[in-house]
Amino acid sequence: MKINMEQFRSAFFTEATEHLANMESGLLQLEHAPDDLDLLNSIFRGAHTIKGAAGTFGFPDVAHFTHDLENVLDQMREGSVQPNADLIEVLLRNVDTLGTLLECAKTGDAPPDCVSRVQQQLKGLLTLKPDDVPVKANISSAAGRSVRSYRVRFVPDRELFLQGSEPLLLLRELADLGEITETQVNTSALPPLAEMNPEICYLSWTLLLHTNVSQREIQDVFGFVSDTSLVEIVHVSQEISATVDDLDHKTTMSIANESDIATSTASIVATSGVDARLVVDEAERRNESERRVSSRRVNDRSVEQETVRVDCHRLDNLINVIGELVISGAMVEMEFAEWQKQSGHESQSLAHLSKTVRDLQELSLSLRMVPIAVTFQKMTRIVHDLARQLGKQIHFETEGEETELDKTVVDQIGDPLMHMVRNAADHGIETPDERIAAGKPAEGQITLRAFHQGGNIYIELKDDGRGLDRQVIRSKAIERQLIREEDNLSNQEIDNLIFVPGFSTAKQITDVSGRGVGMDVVRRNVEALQGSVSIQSEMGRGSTVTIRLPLTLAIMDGLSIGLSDDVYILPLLSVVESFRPEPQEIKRVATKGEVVVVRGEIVPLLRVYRLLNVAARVTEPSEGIVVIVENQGKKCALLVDELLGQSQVVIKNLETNFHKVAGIAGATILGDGRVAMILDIFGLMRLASNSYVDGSRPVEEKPTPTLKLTGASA
Amino acid sequence: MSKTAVIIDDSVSMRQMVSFTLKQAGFTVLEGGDGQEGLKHLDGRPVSVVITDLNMPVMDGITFIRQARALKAYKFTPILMLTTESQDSKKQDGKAAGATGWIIKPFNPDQLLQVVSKVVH
Amino acid sequence: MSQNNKSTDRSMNGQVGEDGNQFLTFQLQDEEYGIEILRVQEIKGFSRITPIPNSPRYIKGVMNLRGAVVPIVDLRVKFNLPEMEYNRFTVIIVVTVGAKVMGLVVDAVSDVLNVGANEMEETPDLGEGVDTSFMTGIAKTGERLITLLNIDKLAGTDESVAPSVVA
Repeated sequence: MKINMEQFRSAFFTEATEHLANMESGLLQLEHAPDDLDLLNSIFRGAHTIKGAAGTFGFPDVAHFTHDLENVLDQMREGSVQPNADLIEVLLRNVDTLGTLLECAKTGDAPPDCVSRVQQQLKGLLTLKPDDVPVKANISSAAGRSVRSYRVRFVPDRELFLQGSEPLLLLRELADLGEITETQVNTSALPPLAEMNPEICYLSWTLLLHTNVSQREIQDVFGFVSDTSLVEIVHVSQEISATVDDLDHKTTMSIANESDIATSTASIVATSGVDARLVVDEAERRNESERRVSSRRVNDRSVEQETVRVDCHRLDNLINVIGELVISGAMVEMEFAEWQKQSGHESQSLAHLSKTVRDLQELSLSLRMVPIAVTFQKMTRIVHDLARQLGKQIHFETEGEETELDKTVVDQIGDPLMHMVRNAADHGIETPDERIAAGKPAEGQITLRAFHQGGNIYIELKDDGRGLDRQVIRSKAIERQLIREEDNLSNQEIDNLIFVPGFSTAKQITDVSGRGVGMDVVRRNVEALQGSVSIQSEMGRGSTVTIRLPLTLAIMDGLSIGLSDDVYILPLLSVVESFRPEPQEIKRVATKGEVVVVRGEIVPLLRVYRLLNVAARVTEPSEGIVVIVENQGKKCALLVDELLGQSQVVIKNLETNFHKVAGIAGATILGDGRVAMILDIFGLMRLASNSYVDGSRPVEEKPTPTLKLTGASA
Repeated sequence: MSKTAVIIDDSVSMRQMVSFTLKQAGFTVLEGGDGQEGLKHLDGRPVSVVITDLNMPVMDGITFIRQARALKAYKFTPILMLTTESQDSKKQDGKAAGATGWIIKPFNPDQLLQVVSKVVH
Repeated sequence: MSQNNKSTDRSMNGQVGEDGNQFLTFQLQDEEYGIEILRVQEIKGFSRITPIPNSPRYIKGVMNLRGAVVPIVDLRVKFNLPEMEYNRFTVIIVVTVGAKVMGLVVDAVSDVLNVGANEMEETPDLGEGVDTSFMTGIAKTGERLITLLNIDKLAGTDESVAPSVVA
């Protein structure tokens, strides 16, 4: 049969990658729990599975490499090698190298030189133990051999049937090797019919086989039963072959010997059966301890096992189609409501249908949600490596790994998180000496947690390090002309300057954080995911960076507003309130342009039509509506023609077919089939601040924290 | 009626490969990710062959073999274990638990079918 | 999202395929233009367009194409021809540019034309101020002169349509 192995390879790579990630996180946990046999078993299983599958799918390099890794892990399981920090370090590096090897196997590239070095290092760890990989017997080809005759005696184990074996199949297989000229069935062991147990094998056979295959190949036929059954193979070709010589005699001798060996092997196995049982007991004991391990991990496993892999593209298509269904449903509902009004007919079924469609949509969107655990695990490794590299002691903790986010978010949040974690470990946490001098425990603490709050997902990174030095930040910002000497910034505003492009607070540039990449990249990446990031810090006590992300990128509660004939959508989450202002509530402030005074609070007024360069009916605020919106703790008032209502909208990316537009977060399709733009509050604020900025500074790099402050220059 | 094979392996790719190969050979294939899932398939239906990995989470292969063998309907069903060369002792454990034979990893589809043909009528 | 370089492989880059190609021809003002038929996804009647704020004038906006939000380019505006009221002949040719989809507003669609290699000529130098970069060449069949457009270049000449194709 011709079966193309190619088709299973992608499944293998996906699976291997998962095993690698599990092995990595397992090893990191093992450092703190070296006696956790359950953990060790699961790490071992990862290596074991990769090895078996790699060989099968044609990646001998990977299989070879994993074999050594598996051996070390096995010795650790047996207790002959003790896990310690150094060993775990080497194993981690091996897991990395295995990842590289897999990547090479995938792309077909030659593996890098470092592989053999890492492998050598691993081999050094192996306690001297005879390599238990038997050298594969070189089975010589049968072709060209002369036909010989063998007398084969087969006395099956009485309980052969109970092992699922069938003597008939074995005899048939034997017949396939050549020609059987004599068959004797020995029925002497057969009891009287009344005493016969059909589950017992009473018969034995003696056959004369003429074949050109080797004695070993004949022996192989009985491979599965040779340990319990008696198999004798004796060369009897002298009578037949004319070309008998001394050499053949020798062969006969050795065969006779081998058959002795076969018999004795059987008895050896019989005795070693005791040992085998001991091993089984041992295994059972392990199982018992596994069972006793926290139910949590067991749950994780069963969840993992009940998943179905679906191509992301197909999933997105499904979600799109369901989105369409929601829109069509809304249209039908509208038309039907009209008809109902006219006819006076009442129907429950439509309401039920609408609800079902909405449920379906919710369900479809949940399909894209994945736990953030994998991303968090990567951070564990990063902190581990950094702490080692920087000579710091860091206790890293994660919370809420089970929090689910849109897959796109999970995929893309990794980089910004990595930056944050690196910053915390590199710049945040002090060296043990510094910490002790500051009266803190030598071991620093970094906590990464994810949680839901008010329709958003928050990821929070907290460290108990040195915190931000506002003095330094301020002077640096002035030096870089990001703010002015006379600007009066709140503490929070100063802290958030670190998100401004090109800003770096590191006194010395370590190779860890590198130059030029900093928190501005974090902010940009988070904003690309429709999220926001902020920092709270206390000098000497530590910092907390908080990322806020939307629950899903695909759906949003929107407030529809009208400008001229077009409909725009505002994210409802950002909307604080809306009202028609009295003329006296609108003021012009020299430094800030127009403002609305809301219960004493001064809120900048943004004329949306002007920022977006589109038509509007209302230009006099007191004739229109102002919507107060909030983003990152800042409020502004948007002037619009009218409010049209609330609805859930499916967010369509403009970038899919176009590109990003300032002030626009995306588009959606309304109930009547029209496209409506979704406004980006943060983008609008930025557009507004740009329009007040003096021309000397690059408009693009205008930082938000200085929004209010730089208005003075207008 | 086609013959039924039960495949138990925690490795999705291995399971896919074994399952695909047997389907090509005309088997109806039932899959399981661990011994416990495998046992669920042994609900009395006729099964021509069971192929199981040994090292699996939740319920390992040896335990599975022992429990499957204890089921009346599968007393004589051929059970093959997937094992690696380095697991000689495992092979003995498997035999002791009631396995019929073994397939040594790595293997290719032809080798798999060859071994299966040794134990299936 | 950046798997959209595939179709540039078969873009013509000013080179005409040896065996000639099929082109969809359309009218703008009094001139005839052609675009490679393989790039045409469909032809649609004019439907409601939502403007995209802060975009160049030739970007008319976006329309809903079975759930996809597709930008619409008015080729008259793009080619600096006088703008015209959209009427019942106005059509939108939906084309693919890499992985992206966009619509082109044209006066009317004429026909599908087989252009043999020998019927094509290099784009003549039209003098200063005339951008010929998105023209593949000129096809002559009988009396007709058809300007063949390279969609990728056309979209690529402006960052705002499909920046990733040029990049």
